[in-house]
Amino acid sequence: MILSKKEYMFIKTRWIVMVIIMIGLAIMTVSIKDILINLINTPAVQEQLKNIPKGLQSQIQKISDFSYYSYSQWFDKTFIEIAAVLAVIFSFSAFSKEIEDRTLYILHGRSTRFEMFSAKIFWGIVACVISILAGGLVYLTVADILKYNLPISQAMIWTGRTIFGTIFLYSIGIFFSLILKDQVRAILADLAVFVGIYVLGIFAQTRFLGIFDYMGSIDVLNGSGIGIIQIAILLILSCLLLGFTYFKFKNMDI
Amino acid sequence: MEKAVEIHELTKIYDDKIKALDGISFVIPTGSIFAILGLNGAGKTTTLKSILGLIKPTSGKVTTLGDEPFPDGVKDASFVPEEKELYQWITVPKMIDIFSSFAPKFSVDKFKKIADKFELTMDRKIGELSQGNRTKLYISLAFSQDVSLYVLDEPTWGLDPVMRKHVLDTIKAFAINGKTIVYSSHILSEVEEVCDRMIILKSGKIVYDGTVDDLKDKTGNDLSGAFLNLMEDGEKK
Repeated sequence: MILSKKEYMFIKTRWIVMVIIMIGLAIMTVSIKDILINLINTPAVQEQLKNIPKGLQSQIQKISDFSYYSYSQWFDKTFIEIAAVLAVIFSFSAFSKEIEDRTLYILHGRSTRFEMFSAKIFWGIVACVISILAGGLVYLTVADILKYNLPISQAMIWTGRTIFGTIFLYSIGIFFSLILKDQVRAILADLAVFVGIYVLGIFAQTRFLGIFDYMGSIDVLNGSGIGIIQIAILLILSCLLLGFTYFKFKNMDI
Repeated sequence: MEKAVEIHELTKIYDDKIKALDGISFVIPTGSIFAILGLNGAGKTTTLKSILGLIKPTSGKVTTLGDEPFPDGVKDASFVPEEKELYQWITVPKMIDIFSSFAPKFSVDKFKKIADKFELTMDRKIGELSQGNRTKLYISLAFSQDVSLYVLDEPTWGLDPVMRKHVLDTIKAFAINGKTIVYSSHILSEVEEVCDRMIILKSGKIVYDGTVDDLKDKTGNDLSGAFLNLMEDGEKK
């Protein structure tokens, strides 16, 4: 790929920082499990828990189970939040910065528009996938070292779901980066859409649109698989969005 | 006459309202130094961008080195745009390294020779260079590609007289070696010095297409006087 070296160089620093953050948070989340449980089990906290609704009480009591702890504190929380941040960080500047800085002239002609587009998308997706894999695998490894019982299949299903969900979020980010031609507006649009997707996941009628719900679903604890249909839908939507973005890029004036 | 660029009835309208070019037609012969002149907003940069396939024609046809340049550009061409912006946060050697990874027919040795001639500052980040040095770096990169067509939009803007002479000498040397140069400038003395043929644009239309000498003969003026006359009456000569 002709622009591979350039795009890799431009994404490298952000990528390293995000992997370090992901790994650091994974290690921290596993490591503080016992501290959190001990805190919950203190008489003072137990006394306080009696005053909260029964449903919430039972959820808090379930945290001593490591699978549930992993779901509630990592895979349905920090992990997918960082995944959304990854999608924004690796996408918002992909086109908008080059358009703002007028540096697309350097690339155009020296490479085709498809080469320009594909090199950016390739490295963005690779950076998202590897950062997420790092978070999922490091969490699993640290849990194993500390002798916590987390089935590998559960961790891998959550990680896999998060990867496909993040690719879709990244596609949204790339779309805004090109269309809005402005880094700040691209970030704001990403955040607005991601918040919208999160809100859709709250209501029963629109829950099927809540990608974050799919990524960190509690169903995995009950033996649910990775969800081939959902993955296929996410991949098709990602391809359509990236295809449309490429069509716009191919026909735009530089 | 072999044609490096052929433009036929080219019109470009931006955002459905701003007519930048209005049905222009001209030919750029291979191996010539061809100037595009005009006042600000006359359509010079739009013409250069059309030649390179950077913008989509609203109507008409552009053929550059035998192919339609839009959307993928012209591989056998090198472009120096009006805004000579490079990646500000990387060093000059890193920029050369990156550029050589994707620019066809780029020679690092040739770059070093040109950079020496231009007395280019090498050990800094691009963002720390002066505007003049950034222009020199951009031109050095573009001139270090051994291509058939060089498209230069105000290439000497912001350069001192010595550097300006180096750029013009390099342009002349390219033409001697059979390369085609398309050149836009506001500095008419430069155009007079290096160009074989030219077009003059006014409000997106061609008001002159021919040689510098023909224009001077027809108007009985120097280039500057002839140019000003054309801008005033706008009649195609």
